[in-house]
Amino acid sequence: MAQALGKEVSDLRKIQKELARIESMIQDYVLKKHENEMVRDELQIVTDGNVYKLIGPALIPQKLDEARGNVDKRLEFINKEITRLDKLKADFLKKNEEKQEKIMKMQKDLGPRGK
Amino acid sequence: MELESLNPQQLSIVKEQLDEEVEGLTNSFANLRHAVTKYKASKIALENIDQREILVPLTASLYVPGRIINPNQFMVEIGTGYYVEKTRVQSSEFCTRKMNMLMENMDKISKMINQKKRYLDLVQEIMRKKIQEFQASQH
Repeated sequence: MAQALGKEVSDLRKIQKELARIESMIQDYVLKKHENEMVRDELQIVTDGNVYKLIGPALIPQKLDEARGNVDKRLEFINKEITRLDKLKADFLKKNEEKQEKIMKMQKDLGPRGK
Repeated sequence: MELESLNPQQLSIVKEQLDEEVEGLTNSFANLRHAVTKYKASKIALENIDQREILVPLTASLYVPGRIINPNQFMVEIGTGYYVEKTRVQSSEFCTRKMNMLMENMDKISKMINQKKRYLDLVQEIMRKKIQEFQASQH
């Protein structure tokens, strides 16, 4: 009985670790999203003047619409990832809650007898 | 959150959490301020660039004399590896935009810090009260 409880607790730890990992990934993507949004806004303002991209140690000239397109595509991808991860996080939050309830119930059942 | 219903141990956990949050926010605030200073310096540098002779660093200890050919053309890093050629005025405007955005964030963070500090004061007040009550009940 206590063994089953131990397993549930270890499952809970795994869920919480996964939650933390997902949360950290979401934070990373949110940061990237902000940076790319800033670049997109700046590129909107550019009318003349050359645009370059740093590839390795070299500044490679880019066409303005190509650069804008690339940033937009990247933003699209980032937003999709954030949506996906948010859904995953919601799933794991639910699992977390269910597991905690289960454990509490098991502890209550064990309570009067065990110590 | 009902702080009154928590015991001193739980309150102290809340206090620790708040302390950590305030520290994190204060750190972010300092980083933002540092960035604003750098953009401010860039703006000032922009105004001072003309066609005087300059010393160009080739290595950390070797400089060669040179002259800026076009004091109105600058390469600005706008983020994620993108660079744009801008005129002096455009570059200066870019710096201003960045500084304004950073200062807006600094305001937001400073409000959050004050809010957390007020909450922290409240928690400490309640902790003090609870401890006093406990000590009174021992006599």
